[in-house]
Amino acid sequence: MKQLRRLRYLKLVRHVLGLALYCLLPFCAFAQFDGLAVTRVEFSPAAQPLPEAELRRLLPLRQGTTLTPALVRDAIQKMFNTGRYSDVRVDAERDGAGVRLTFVTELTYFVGRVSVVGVPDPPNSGQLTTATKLQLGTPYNSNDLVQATQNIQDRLRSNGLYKATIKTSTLNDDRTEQVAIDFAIDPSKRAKFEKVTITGDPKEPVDRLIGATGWQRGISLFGWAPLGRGFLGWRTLTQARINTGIEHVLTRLQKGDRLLSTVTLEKLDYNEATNLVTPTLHVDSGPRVTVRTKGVKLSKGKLKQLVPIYQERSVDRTLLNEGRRNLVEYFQSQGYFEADVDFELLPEKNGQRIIQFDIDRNGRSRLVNLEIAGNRYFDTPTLRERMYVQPATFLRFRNGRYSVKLLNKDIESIEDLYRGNGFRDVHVLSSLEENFGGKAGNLGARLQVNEGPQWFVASLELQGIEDVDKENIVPTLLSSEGQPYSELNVATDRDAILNYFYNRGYLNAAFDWSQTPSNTPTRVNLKFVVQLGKQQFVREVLVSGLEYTKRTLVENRISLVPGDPISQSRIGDSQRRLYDLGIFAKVQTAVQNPDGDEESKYLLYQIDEARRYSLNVGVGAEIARIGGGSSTSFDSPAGQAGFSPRLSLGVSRLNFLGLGHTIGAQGRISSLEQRAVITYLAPQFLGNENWTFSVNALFDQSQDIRTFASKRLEGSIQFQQKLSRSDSIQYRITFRRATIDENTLKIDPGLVPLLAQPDRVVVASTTFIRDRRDDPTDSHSGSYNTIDLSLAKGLTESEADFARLAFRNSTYHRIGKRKDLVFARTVNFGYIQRVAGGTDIPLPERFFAGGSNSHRAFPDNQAGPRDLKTGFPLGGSTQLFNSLELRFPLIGESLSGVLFHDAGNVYSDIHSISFRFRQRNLQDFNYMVQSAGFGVRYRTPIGPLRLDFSLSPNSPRFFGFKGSRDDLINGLGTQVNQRINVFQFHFSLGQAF
Amino acid sequence: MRFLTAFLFLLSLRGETLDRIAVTISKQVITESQVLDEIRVTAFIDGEKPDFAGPAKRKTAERLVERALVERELTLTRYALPEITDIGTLLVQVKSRYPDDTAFQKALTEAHVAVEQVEKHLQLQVRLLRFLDYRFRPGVRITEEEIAELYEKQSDEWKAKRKDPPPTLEASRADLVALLTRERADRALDRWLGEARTREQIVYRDGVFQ
Repeated sequence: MKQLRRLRYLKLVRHVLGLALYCLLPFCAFAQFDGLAVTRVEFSPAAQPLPEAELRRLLPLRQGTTLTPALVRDAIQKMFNTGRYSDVRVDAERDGAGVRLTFVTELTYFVGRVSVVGVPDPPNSGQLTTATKLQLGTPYNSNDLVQATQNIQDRLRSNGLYKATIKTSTLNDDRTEQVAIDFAIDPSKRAKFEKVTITGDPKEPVDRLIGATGWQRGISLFGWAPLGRGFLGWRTLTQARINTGIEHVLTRLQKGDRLLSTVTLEKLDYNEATNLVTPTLHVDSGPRVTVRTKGVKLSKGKLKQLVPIYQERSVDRTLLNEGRRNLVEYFQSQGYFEADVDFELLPEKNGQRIIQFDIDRNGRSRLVNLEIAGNRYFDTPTLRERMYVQPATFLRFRNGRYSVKLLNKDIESIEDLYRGNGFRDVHVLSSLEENFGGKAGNLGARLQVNEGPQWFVASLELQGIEDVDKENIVPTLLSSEGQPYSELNVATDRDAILNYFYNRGYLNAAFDWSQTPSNTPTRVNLKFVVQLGKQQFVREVLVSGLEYTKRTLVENRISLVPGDPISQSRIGDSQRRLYDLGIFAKVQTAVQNPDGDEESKYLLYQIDEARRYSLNVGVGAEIARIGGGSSTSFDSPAGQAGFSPRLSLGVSRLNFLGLGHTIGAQGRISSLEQRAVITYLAPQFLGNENWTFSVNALFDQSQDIRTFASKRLEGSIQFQQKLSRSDSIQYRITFRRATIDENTLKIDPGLVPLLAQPDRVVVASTTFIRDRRDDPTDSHSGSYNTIDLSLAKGLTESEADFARLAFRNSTYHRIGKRKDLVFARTVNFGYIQRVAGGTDIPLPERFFAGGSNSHRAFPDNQAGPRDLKTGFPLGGSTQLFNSLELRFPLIGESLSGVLFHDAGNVYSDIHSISFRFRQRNLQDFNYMVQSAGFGVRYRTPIGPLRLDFSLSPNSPRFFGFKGSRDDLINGLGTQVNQRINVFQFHFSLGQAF
Repeated sequence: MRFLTAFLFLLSLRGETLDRIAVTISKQVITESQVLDEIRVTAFIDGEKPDFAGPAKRKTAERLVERALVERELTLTRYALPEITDIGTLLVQVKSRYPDDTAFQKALTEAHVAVEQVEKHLQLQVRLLRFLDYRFRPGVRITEEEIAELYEKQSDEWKAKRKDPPPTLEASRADLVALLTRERADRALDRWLGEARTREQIVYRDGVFQ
């Protein structure tokens, strides 16, 4: 018995030891708890980044669940999927008959504000921030910081800042899991070049190449060694300087036809003791490469333009083939539609390599006819609009524009147009008729369109979309029932549907579609399937980077609030509103943890404030009919060509008081004008993006009206309200005091007491603007209308009260078969009516007009009534101008021409408006001056450069005065007949209207 | 006796780590328990003793990562792989090491491996081989020069080992082509895996592999 007990005991010991060993094995944990019921689920730390309800909803393990390894793995995966955890561990502990689970978590942190301070430009702050490669809202890893620091260091070193030190600091916000990362740079002194070592086979004097780098101080002309080199020393090292230096050496070598030359920066030897750098350039000049043509002579400039080996600084068959194609296209554009070009690389001889292009132009042709047939659904002009091939025209395409490549491109584009409208089987065939119309060299191209049947959508099924969304989406779809069926329309619908859901928080929405033939011929049944995925919401909006700006200013412009579905368009709109304030250099937006599966996410706005002060200095000159003697001279009342230098200076303070307002001062001094303006601008006034408030103070002393010099002091308060995309209205109160320097008045002395009186008024005015032009700087279609109403009240009883009305109506129309002509017209009307006080409209308030933007028969401000003794303009109370323009392409894409007709004048009063052509006598100015002319426009990024020549058959004749001021006062001097020159020219920027 | 009972009770009461993240491939998690399962199943199929030491765990985790990358590629590119309907031959090979089914079942129990795990493992292996066949083999091009070169090499080895003359080039052509194709496909797979690893963010948790 005792033995039996002993045996049992031994068995038990073995069993226990076995169990103990078993429990030490890695798989024992599950073995202990597998199949037990979960009694509790806890988290460590207790404060978790996800709201508890969301967390509980997420986990497949809850009280009462039977524990299995698969469920634990699933729980870990789901928690990790949220993106908010960098590590998850599940611990288990017996809890009575069940098991208590603890999720031990480590949080993920995300990149928040990244700032770089102490930046020595170059590189600038933006470049260094970009170099960090730390993306706002993405998971932050401490290794990223090491890499970011290294990247900044590399960027600094490549800009000569070898001794720069970088201090990094991070600040974790445990609540939002954001990490603010700061890089503080002590740049130390920038290294200078010491000398340049050149290796390889330069085949050019090394001194010249070093001179070409521009790394030595001195003045370098024509690629010579810089003057002053040697005693002026070397420049500091920057990345840009290295690049341009290498570029200049290459250019220098290329000038000697060394197109195969290579210049590489081998190394930069830095001497820490002296803080000097010696770059080593490896120069391999290679043979001289000569490009020549056989069969046709072409200038070197044209070859450089067409054969890309010059631009690419390399010679290979790909580039030569491209050059061959360019040459073919060039000759085709010249009318040699059958031009044939080939090239050969002749063997290197005496260090020279010759590339020869064999050109056979094969006779010149003109494409005189382009016919399109078989098109029923689209009319011919609609198809022609999309075509590159053009028949010959008088000026622009003298031989037409044609090549097989262009024709094929056009066929493709026409077929695409048809397919996009349901013609799945469309086919366009082309044929070319030589000796068209029986004339040798003339070509006629014919396109035969075989439209085929049009396919329509028989039914559209939308799957995966709620009814409420369907109501919004269906009206926007192109592929709805009965509409033409095309894959292009489906692609457009796909974008519309996905955008709809992306803007409602379904950031992972996906779209699929299928089509099946309908029972009716040429009809298809469409099925759109949308997988919405999980809807995501804004948890909180986090704004960082504000130093001076008031937080509410930013927050008021962000339309998303916690709980809103994340909407890409609303995020973008808010970003635009912030940029529109004009006080931020950069506004970055991101959703924190973009790949995470969590339901609600932080929305991040990282803002870089712009520099608060800006200074601008400008120097210029005006050359026009502005001169003609001194300010007291009576010569040339109509002006003579003159020169007026100009200097301007401005300073602005952005983000005044952190409110997003701007205060600025601008001054301009020239021999014609001295002007100072102080402005205070409050855009998006009181948080309303449709309102702008501004205050202006102006001092102006000008002689641009040749009759007198005036001083103007003006203060105004203005509100501007944007009514719609095209409409806005301005409300303005202006206080104005204008005085005229009596000594400069070039008028009948008898009128001086009347016209030299100061003008002191308070003006209430409002302006309505409707701008529907396609491009304000160079309009082709649309309209522009303004109406301005003012009511001025004199400050004393003797001063005039007057009302003023001005309006402008301009319209622009595309005309012609190809819609490449523009007919533009404008009418300007202005009227001032005295309502009380005084006897006349003060001179500074009158209309003075004429010149490049109103009436081109006149020099600036020379239209209208004139002093009967001196002939100088007196201005009028009414103006009426009408201009017509025909704008047409002239040569190529950049140069265009204009034929214009201007009519109108400034009239002494509204009753004097006349359409009369003839000037009755030398004292009659109330007639309609007409002019016609021609102008050219050259397109530039800031608007067209304009040169207009005008001829006016009825330009005003008038009495001028020959003599001095004393002669005028004393009734001496003589009257002479004068006339505004019938021929005028105007040179300026921008279209006339 | 009382001491032992108390020991058992305390043992069952102590807290344990059930599972934890071993490695992540971007958003996909491989847990430590999956690594351990893989070690056990692989060891069972290979008829070896499982090695749960850190380096072995790391090696197994790397294999799981490769498998995950392949699975991801299969899902993304929707490769039309043939259905794996029969892994019977492979399972028979595994079972053949045991005298009868009872012994096989006993071995499974002792190794703490379920037969479903073995089947799934074999399925995945077949799937991987099929992927290799479909993805990389078609791209392999073997030239006559390469076949001749390998034949020369094999002939030399043959001559060194055996006295009789080696088979002719034509007779061994099919084997040589198969050998070269397999080598090339394997190399292509390795290259692809290398690229796939750089595309994903793969993070191993060092604590698991110590």
